[in-house]
This record gives sequence, C-alpha cells and structure tokens, in this order.
Amino acid sequence: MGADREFGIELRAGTHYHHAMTRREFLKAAIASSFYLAARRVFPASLVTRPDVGIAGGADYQKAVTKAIDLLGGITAFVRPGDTVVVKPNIGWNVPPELKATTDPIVVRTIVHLCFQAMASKVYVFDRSVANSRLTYVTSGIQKAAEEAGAKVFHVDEITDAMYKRISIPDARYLKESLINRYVLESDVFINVPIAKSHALAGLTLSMKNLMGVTGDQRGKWHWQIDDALADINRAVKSKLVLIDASSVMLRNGPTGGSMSYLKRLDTFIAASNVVSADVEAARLFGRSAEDLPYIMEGAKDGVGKASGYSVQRSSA
Amino acid sequence: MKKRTLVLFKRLRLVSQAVFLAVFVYTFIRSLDPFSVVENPFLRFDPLIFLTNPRPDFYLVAPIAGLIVLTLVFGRFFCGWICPLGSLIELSDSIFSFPRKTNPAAIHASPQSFLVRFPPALVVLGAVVVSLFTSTSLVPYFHPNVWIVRILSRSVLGFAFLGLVLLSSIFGRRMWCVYICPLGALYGVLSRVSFLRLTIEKCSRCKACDRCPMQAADFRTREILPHQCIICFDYEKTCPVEGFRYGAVAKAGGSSFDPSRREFLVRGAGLLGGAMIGGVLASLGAISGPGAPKAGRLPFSQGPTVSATTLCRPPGVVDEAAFLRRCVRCLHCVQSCPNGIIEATGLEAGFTSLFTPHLRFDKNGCDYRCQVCQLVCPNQAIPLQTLAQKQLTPIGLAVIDQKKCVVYTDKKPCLVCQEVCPIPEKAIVFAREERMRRASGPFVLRYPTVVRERCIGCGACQAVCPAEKVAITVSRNA
Repeated sequence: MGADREFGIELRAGTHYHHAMTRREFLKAAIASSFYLAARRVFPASLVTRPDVGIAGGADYQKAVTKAIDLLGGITAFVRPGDTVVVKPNIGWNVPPELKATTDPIVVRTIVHLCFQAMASKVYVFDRSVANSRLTYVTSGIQKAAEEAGAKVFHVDEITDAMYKRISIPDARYLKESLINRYVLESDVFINVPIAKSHALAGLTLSMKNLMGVTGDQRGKWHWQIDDALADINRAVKSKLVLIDASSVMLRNGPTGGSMSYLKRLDTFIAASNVVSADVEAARLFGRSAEDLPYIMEGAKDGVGKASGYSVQRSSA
Repeated sequence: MKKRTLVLFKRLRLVSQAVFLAVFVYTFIRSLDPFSVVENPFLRFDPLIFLTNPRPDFYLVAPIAGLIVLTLVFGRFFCGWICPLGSLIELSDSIFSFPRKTNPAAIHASPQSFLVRFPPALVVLGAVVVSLFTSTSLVPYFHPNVWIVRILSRSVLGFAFLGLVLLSSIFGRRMWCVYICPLGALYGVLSRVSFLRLTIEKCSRCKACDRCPMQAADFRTREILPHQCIICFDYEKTCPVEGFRYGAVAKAGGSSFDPSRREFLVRGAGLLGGAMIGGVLASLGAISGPGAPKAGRLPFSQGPTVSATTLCRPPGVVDEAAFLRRCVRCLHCVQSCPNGIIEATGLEAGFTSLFTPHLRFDKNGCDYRCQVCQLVCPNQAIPLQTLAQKQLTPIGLAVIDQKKCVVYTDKKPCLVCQEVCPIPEKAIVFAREERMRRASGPFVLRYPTVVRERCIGCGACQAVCPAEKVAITVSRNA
C-alpha cells in the first residue's frame, strides 16, 4: 500500500500543478516518472532506501503509530497479502491501561488494522502474562481492542506440545534450547509491540525483553543471566517489525507500576525493523545509552541489529 | 378447591422449582467468571446463614423477612417451591421410584410416627442455632443449599453427598427434608402458626394420602402436620373424594389445645437437646486439632479471641474468630478465584477450620486488583472492601530466607520477586548493592529485602521465586 500511496501522491501532485506547467516541465516530469515506475518494477524495494527507525509523535495514537510505520515504508513493507501475522504486545500485568504497565490497546488495535489493510490472512494476538492472563487480557483492554479489529486473541499459558515447540539455538550464550510458541515460529510476520518501562534487573524493558512472552520455559531462571538470555532469544526469534509504545513511559517502580506519578507523557512511538536499534532509541527517551543496558550491547554483538550507525527518520507532526 | 386450580398450582410449582434451580446453576456458573460476579441469592437471603453474620442491611433483611412473612402466611412453601436441593431430591425420588417400590427395606413411616411428628431435624436446628454463638458453626454441614454449591463445585465431598441423596431415594421420599434439614425445620416451626393451611374435609379412608412424600397427611386422625406440609398440591390425583382444602384455618378450639401443648413440650425438648449437643460439639471442635484457635467459648464470656492459626486467609479477613463463625464453607471462593490459589482446609488446622478457605502461593499470588472472593462470599465472611482497602489489608508477610536466596548464596543477579511485587512503591527493596564483574561486563548486584510496613503478603513473589528451594515465603503471624 505504501508504494501505491506514493504513486498516488505523484499523480495528484502532477494534476495540482497542471495549469502552471510548461511543455518542458511536463516532458521532464513524464520522463522522470516513467523512469521511476520502470525502476520500481525492476528493483521493487531495494531502490528505495528505508530508515531503520521511524519515530512519530502525537496525542492521536492511531495516527502516530501509522505515521511511525509509514516512515519505514508502511505496513506493506512488512506484511504481504495472505501473510499470517503474530502481534505480540506486553499484556504482562493485571493493570488498567492508563497506568501504562501494558501496551496501549489503541496501539494494538491500530497495528491489527494495518495488518488487515495489508491483506494479512490472519492476525494473532497473545502474550504469556506474568499475572493471570484471564485478568490481564481483559483489564489491559487489549483483548477487546484486538478482537474488535479482527484479530484472534488466545491464551498461551498452558505449556503443551500443540502450543510450544522446543528449538535449539546454535552458539547460544545461555539458552542452548528453548520452548518457543508455535504461532510465532510458523507465522510469516512477527510484530513486536512492547511498552517502554523501567525494570530493576534489566534496567529498562523494551522490545528485546518483550520476547519473554513467546517462550514456554521457566522464565525465572533467565533472570540470573538476563543479558545473555535476551540476546539468545532475539537471535532465535526475529522481530520483523518493532513498534515501541512510548506514549507514557514508566520511569520507576516498573515493570508493574501502579501510580500515574511514575509516568512521563511523551506521546512518542518508535517503529523499527530490528529490536536493537529500536531499544537504543527508546532508551534515549529515558536519558540512557545502550552502554547502560548490557542486553542491548550483547544483542548488537550477536548481530541481532545495529546499536549504532543506523538511520533514523522522525516525523514532527 | 377446584380441580383446575389445583392442576394450575401444581404446574406453577414445577415451573417455580425449575426456575429457582436454574437460577442457582446460573449464578454458580457466572461466579466462575472473574469479571461478572453475582452472589448466590440462596445463600445470601437465608435466615439461618443470616444468623451467622447478622448485619443491619435493608436489602438483606427485607428479603429474609419477606420469606418469613410468606411462611407465616402460606406455610412451609420454601421446601416445595424454591429450595434447589428440595427440587433435586424430588427429581432423584422420581428417578428412583421403581427401586424404591420394590425395595423391601424401604421406609414406610406414617404421619403418626414419632420421627415424623418430632423429626430429628429439630435437634439439628437446635444444635445449629446454638453453634452460631460458638466458634464452630454447624450451619455449613447441615445447610441444604451449601451442599448444592459443593455438588456443583464437583468436590469429592459434594459427590459423596449427592450419592447419599440418590441412595436415600431408594429408601424413601424427601428423607433429607423430613428428618434432617434444619432450614426445613425452621420453616416448619414457623408454619405451625401459618395463616393458610391444608386440611382434610372429606375422607373415604382410602389411605391414598399415605403416599405424601413428606408424610404430612394422616387419614386416621384427619390431620395434616403443618410443619411437614410443603404445599405441593400433588394430592389432586391422589384423593378420590377431593377432600383436601387449602385455606385460612379456623381458630383452634379448646379440644385441640391439649395435644398441641404436649407437642410443644416435646418439640421444645428436641430443640433443647439439640442445643446441648451443639454446645458439646462446638466445644469439642474448638479443642481438637493442633492449629485450632483458643476460641470455642461463647463470645460474651471472654475477651477477644486470638487465633493461633498460621493459615493465610482470603484477602480482607482480619478477625479470624468472626471469619470462622461466618464462613459457611460453601467453597464458592475456592471455585471462583481466577488464580486458583484458594484451597479448602482439611483437618490439619482442627475441626474449627474444616473446609474453610486458605491461600496457597505455590503457583500464583493473590492478584492486587482482584476481589472476586470478596464479591462471591454470600455471607461476607470474606469482608467486601473497597479496592483501596483491600490493597492495604495484609494477608500475611513475605520473608526472604537468605540461606536459600540465590543473590545471598551465589551472588546471582535475581530480582524476580521485586519485579512482580504489585505494591506501587514496591515492598521489596534493595538492602545493599555491590559492583560486580562477569564475562559480559560489569553489573550491579542488588540484595532484596522486604519492607514489613508495605508488604501485604499477596504471595506473588513466592509464586515466581526461581530458586531451587523457594526463598521467599508468605505466612501469617510471621
């Protein structure tokens, strides 16, 4: 859809200036656009340089999320017609959405909408909550929002063979093997939608740590070597698209929070094509650098993504 | 009464029974959904259960008063028209009618039998009422509708009771209602003075009314026992001369005074005997078991009763003695807890705590924003608080065992307990920090410790502790 939209804008721009156009200008435009269209056909995506990270802001979450993803080339750069998509928000805690311990339901709804606009065949939304998922799915507002948008929402708390598959992670630092959700493994696109929060042990919980919700392992012990565990799991499960909800970030007493006084309103959304760059940008919102958060650096070392030297595009509106 | 009216009443009664049984099952099923909690009206609006926790709540007192007034007008209608267990027993009776008829050991007690005129239910009622004033209430074990919750909960206990009900149908009809049920006995006592009664006007001495399931009709003396008659209107087919009349009863003359006085004395003796048994049982229960509270005495005879139990009770329970008195052991909270952490207590804490709920934090903690148990408790044994109150009321206290915690023993960075602590300002803080190095670089080791003033003992930390032997545990009176 992104490409079509650009095409549409070209045409509209042309018609808009039609009355003022000289013949020379017309020929230039016609030749340029025919070159452009020909090039798009031969090199569909490679010709267009996409930034690694797109940051958009605004009090209208739906518009801001769409804008952030559009900066990366729009949802069609990630979701192709017929794809099955897993959208993995943070639904970890039984906390109402205004306290921002879970991903905002509007963000989840927007992303599900975008996936269906890109003609995804199925969109699944779930998280292995820390608290009881029967409570968290409802309290967070995510179940309702995602189902209204047409996604299939289900519980993944029972560790069964039907739901989880044991995979081995070659050259792992800590997680030699791990139980991973089959929907994540078997779907075409995995979209990682965390909320940015403070976390005593990990420093911050962002998109890399959001993958704690796709495993069926006993996650408690991961914490003893959390940096290595997060690098490993992010190498095993690639987030094709990351969208970090930094609408209001929890500055302390995370990840559970529980008071509005811990929140700082930023109205910011970070879209990225890899988890490391996304997390580095999100950490900067907290005034922290990637060097403060060892798991980001470990992920970068393992080639999960670029911790520096990535391109960022911002939208002011 | 005209035959057509009788048939109408009989059908109405069946509809009423079906509706109330359906309401019971529906409320039970709804109570399993943590976001649509409904209280069980049969346990909430009940005179016996009300006595265990009397409180001046108009919306509670009015329906109960209404039931009593209706009983004073119509007689013991509750058992035949409303009581879900009564309906269940009637169903079971009709299913097992054939084995009962062919059973040589079936009980053919007549209305003249002493056990029908002065049923043991009166003794049970006496014992139950006396036990209300002790720490060991007998209401939980004899209340009919508490048993239905246990059956619907698919508990072993409930199925055992259901088995007994089914078995009793082979020996006689409505055996529970006639001989044991204290609630029925209570309504029976009230219906001794009810305004409307069933009477025998004509009789051909055909003995057909011996088939009365409550054995309330005695053709020999042309008498209907008002405390057993449940106004079922099932006699329409039975009586060949249509000799029954249901209506206002004529003022009792002098002739009927003497037997009723004698009956009053026997009945009183039954209640008194029950009361004594109740007192003895209650004191026995109070002193049995290692964890039994030092209660068991009458509330007006001693000062505050202090519990010695270490069981973590559902959130909001502060006064253990009051909790034990009020809890009807219906196990609604056990069924409804979305986290599945409420368990029924066995005999390990003494008879006083038998079937009471306690919390286990092995798999889950008590959710910080959940009040389902408080909402479903029909008797407010688990007091209904505001969410803010609930979040401040301690269930217990978490204690870290430094000999087991991996931060203290192995210097492993682990703050899972602190992470899940739902108290906004965190009840688990860092006792000290230590700068460490390892392969991936430097890190800060933080030693967790519990802030006693903040911890409410929700057990979330205990449920997630990843140490081999759980290093943080919640206990009461720690």
